[in-house]
Amino acid sequence: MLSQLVRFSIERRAVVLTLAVALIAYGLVRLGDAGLDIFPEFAPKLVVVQTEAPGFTAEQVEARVTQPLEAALGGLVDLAYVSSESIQGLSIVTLVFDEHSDTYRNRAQVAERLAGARARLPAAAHEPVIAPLASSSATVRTIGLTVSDDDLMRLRDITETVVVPRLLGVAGVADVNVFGGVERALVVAPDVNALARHRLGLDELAAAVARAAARPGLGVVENASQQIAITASGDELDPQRLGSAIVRARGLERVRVEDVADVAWGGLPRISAAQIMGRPAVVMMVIGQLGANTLTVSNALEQALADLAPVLAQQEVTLHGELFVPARYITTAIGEIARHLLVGGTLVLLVLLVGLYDWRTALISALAIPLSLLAAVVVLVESGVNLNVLVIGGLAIALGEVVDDAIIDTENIYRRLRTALPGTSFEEVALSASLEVRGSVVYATFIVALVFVPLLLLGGVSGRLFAPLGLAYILAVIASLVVAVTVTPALCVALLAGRSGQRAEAPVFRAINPWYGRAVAALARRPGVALAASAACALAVVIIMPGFGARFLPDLREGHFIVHTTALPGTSLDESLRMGGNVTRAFLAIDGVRSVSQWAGRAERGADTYGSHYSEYEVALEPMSGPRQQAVLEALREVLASHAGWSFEANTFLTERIDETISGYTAPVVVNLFGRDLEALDRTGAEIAALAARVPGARNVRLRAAHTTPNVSIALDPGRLARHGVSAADALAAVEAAYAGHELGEIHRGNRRVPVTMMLPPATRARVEALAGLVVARHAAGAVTLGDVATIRQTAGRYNVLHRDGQRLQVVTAEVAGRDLGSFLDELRERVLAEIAFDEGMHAEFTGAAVEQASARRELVLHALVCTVGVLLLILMAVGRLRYLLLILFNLPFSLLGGVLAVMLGGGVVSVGSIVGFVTLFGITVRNSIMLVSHYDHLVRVEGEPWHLDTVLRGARERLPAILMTALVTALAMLPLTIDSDNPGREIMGPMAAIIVGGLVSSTLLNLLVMPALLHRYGRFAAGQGR
Amino acid sequence: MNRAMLLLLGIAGGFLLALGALRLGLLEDAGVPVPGAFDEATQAAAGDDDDGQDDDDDDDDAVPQRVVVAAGRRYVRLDDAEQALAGVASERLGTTMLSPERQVVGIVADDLVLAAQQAALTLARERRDAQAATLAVVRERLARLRGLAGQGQLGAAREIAELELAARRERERALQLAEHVAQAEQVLATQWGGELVARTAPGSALAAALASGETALVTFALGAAGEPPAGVAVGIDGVREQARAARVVAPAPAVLAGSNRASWHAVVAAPALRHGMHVDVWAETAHEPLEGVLLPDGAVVWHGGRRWYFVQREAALFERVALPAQPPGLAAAFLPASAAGDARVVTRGAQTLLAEEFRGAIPDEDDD
Repeated sequence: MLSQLVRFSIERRAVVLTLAVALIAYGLVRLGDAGLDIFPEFAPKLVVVQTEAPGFTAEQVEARVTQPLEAALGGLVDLAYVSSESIQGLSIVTLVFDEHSDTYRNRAQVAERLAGARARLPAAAHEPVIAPLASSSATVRTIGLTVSDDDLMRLRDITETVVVPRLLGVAGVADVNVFGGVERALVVAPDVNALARHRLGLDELAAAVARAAARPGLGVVENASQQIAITASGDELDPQRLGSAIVRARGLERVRVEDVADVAWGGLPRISAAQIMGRPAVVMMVIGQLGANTLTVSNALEQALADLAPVLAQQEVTLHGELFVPARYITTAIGEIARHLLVGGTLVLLVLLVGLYDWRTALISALAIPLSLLAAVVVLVESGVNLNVLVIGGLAIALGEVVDDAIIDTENIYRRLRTALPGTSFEEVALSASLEVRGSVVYATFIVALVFVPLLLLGGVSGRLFAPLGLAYILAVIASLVVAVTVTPALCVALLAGRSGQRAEAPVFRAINPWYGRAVAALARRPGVALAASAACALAVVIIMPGFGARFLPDLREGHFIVHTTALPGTSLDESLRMGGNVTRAFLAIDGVRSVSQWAGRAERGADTYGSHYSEYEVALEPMSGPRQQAVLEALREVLASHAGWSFEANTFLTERIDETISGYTAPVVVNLFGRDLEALDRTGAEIAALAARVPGARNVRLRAAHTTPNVSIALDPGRLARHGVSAADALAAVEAAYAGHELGEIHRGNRRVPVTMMLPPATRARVEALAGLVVARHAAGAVTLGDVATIRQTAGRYNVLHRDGQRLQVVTAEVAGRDLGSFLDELRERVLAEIAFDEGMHAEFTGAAVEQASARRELVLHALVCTVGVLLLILMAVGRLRYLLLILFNLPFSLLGGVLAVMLGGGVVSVGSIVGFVTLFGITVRNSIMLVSHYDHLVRVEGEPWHLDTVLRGARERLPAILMTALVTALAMLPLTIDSDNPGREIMGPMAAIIVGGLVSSTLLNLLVMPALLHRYGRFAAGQGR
Repeated sequence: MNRAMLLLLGIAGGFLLALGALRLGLLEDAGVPVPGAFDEATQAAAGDDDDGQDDDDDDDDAVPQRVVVAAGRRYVRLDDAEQALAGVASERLGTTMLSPERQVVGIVADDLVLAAQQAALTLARERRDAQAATLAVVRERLARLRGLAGQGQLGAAREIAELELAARRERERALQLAEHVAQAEQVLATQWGGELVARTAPGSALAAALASGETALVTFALGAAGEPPAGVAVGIDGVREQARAARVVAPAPAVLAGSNRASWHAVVAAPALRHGMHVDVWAETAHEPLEGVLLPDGAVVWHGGRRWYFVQREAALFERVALPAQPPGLAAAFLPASAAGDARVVTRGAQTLLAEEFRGAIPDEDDD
């Protein structure tokens, strides 16, 4: 089939070349249209439902919001499991679907169920909201606003009415999470003493305010001809008008709202706060839609912000538009890769010119690069795979590979043309020369592709991240194979025909050949030396490699850091900002830090659903090198470690996103305890935690859902309630009205809805002692306070309540040091089941990263083993004899030695990128070895040469240009990436390229010197004994 | 079958055995390190580096241990630089004398009604006394007549009978008037309390003051029965600074029917007050002024159902101390002088110190 394909390509070369030109043109068009993103979509398929329940404790949220929602959302198609978290004021239900389910159908199912679930929720809870469909990278941009007079209410008004609507109008924006500022409300702050003086209760005041704020629809006047709408004016509500509303009219007495309350523009209770460079601010995170192109959306946002700038400046608002711009990293990374492609491609061209000594031949080989890469791009884009840093990285790695096939083919045709007999048909020479090397090249290509297959089969987030890289690489090398069997022969015939007598060997090879021949001859006469050298290198590799460290990804130099701090639950927003202000000043003192912004708490519909004790910081850097960025990161961590009272993390955005998504359990050992009773769960969980701490090897044992947040408990006394003639509902309604804020109506300012709410003044709400004096009812004889009907005391409450599949959950996590995870988990399981008494209905599940890791590793090893068998079979088929297979395998460590040394010099840490480098090296070595064996076989079997030293030398010299050029081309293509590999855009591919460059040195020595010597000693080529 | 095929079958068989062993986990159970081309990729679940722990907690490893236990007491240790960074500040708070107050609502009593009732009582008493005198006269006459009748003088019997009848009438009237007095006294006692009634008797200074209109009588409910509150101030509009000093004059019967608190009468020089007005009453809750300090808001933290504050024991050592039971009526947390002593109280950063002490309770927010 291959011979027919090559023959067709030569005979119909015009067609083939036209198709090639069309492919290049189409590929360039698709490349131009293709979206560019940082990483592929790697988040699992999940739908998050958030329900705000202001004023509810975690236990109340669990009982009254979360449980009804879970009941309503169970049993959906493709639902894997449901987990939930109930925190103060918010319910978060996360539905995780099967990896292969349809995202939109999942959301449709959830929306359908939610429509019916609302009726089961308390009136005070807001409508359940499905979090917007966002990309895995989530944040497209973070911007902030500050105002000259630090009026946070005005700032929030501007944010909500001007900025957010404009940003939401940008294509590709899913949501804007707003932190900070103060949400405006028309606040009625009752004066409890004035109410008492006027013998009024909160309920009467609330009723009066609700009446004043009511704005019903007025209907229409309809006659035979027309329908005329009725509208009212002069009823716009503001503090003055609301204050003059009547609460009680009795005889001549008029008690107005302003007599018993302060009415003013005020703020709703905050759930978030923010500051920029230590100044109060509003911070907005712009979230991208699923599948949206980060670069395109970011550029559109840039335009939108430019449009807004004059409007904001008029209102003395400063726009901080670049607190975090992920697209910068894409631009930098793509730019680096583009530069690499340019420099590498130029170096490749130079090598081809020097090595082939003919510009046409060099051009033919070089054209394989754009053809192969663009073909791969077309396939990827048409398959719906977005171009991202990893995909483009895969193509960049393949740069050196894709040109090798063309070099081998072109060099062989060129050499055959030089030695062809006069009068021989050019097409026949090209055909036979092409077919001579075709089989080996095909085998080698498939071997390399097969080695990447385990990457494609990797499950979970790892697979979603790295499969596109593997796919891009495989597509590129397969495309290069197709190019080598079609376009290259066609181009050779088209450009080289009629020049058969004018080809000379390249001067560089003319100079090297004598020396090379002597070296090969010397080593061939002493095969023991070659064998010993190979064995020694193998030993060295085996000794050195296990000592390497391992990491998933290298540190990415994004020019930006995300810092998280978590204080004790119950820490107020103001305290979080105070602590944040401390470190902000310290961060800004670090050389290279451009800006620092902080937000504390959470935003509505935000993905981060934490309390006021949690803060996140965006630390933007000046442009700087990778090592300097690392130094800044260490300085940040030093500052954070020096600040007491919190736990922290500091990382780049992408590393953090991957870490958040990649691990369902960040702790190695996790004990999930399921049960019905929260107190019993806490008690048993604490026992398990205490026991786990005693198991040898345990470290950092934690109980996740602990009692840590301060609560005020109001224990209503039924007897006292009855004595005072007050119902429990009335008493609690008064507390709600005073502390949670009771929305009594709404007004509209322009396009903005402003709630009218009643709430005690902040100074009163700040004192727990004021609760006892809260008037809950009023009789003719006087007032009844909360202290009259309840016992009020301070307790420790729950920060959160966890569920899994509708069951209450307590989690104990632990780390392990000094022993293997598996045995620790086994011992823990055994002791827990033996020593802990579980209440009825309670059971434990033992899992964690250990279990996940073992499962993932088994899958990987399984796939790798299957592929290894396939690779060995292919090598055997390519070389024909078992002894040659064994020779190739025996010498493989020699070829890898250079890569191993490159890892050592680079810090001794291996990442997934490094493994890709080793795999590439393996492929190159195997291919060159196959080529050598095949060539010797051709010389003996086809050309009738006897198998002796001269044949060995001849074959080695004939293969020298191809081997040397492919090695040089690949090495030089990778070389630009190895320089300053710790810089933005080169982090993943730099170590990979270093391994390839280092490994090519040893691999080339192997194939040029060691293999010919060992084949001379152990090879058994004979005429008639073909493959 | 040639050697190559045999060897190939052997290799394939070996791989199959290895696969089977992997599936069953036998290799790992035997402690054999399981190889894998992408083994490193799976370490993502446990972290990026090779130290076997989550990289998230690598950051926390850099945090020094700041809780120390010495002589059975727990301290948080922060050096000067850490204190400066965290903004922890402490100071010696000067003690002051404080009179805690509670604010309640009182009613301006209608002293005219009191005066009228007092007058009515006085009149009833005078009538009773007058009647008693009349009765005494009648009885004296009766006794004299009986004496004359005993001496055998004529006409005495009819006079005696008439006088006896008159005496009975006068006695009945006296009893009625005594009843009127008792009723008037009861009304006063029930409505105003006996002590106030006694102190506002006609001709008394208090009665004169009330009658002048320059003084108002305010009734309020506060605390439990027992000693009256030490100092009282009365005001309107809830502004403490504009309140006027008042004087408790007597306990009162219940003012608020639904209240379990004792009621008191106080008088205040406030000609603007009119009866029926609801006024603000500030009453001291302690008879003796308290010596101590009021802690600023930032100094007090809640934990485990109690309130605490931090004291800087040494330059770098901070100790958490439980706040003692609080007297009612104070606007802020109170530390008696005996507890405050010479201590440096942490006035800023107490929550930071609490979080550092209970670092283990800080949740891992990114575990989801």
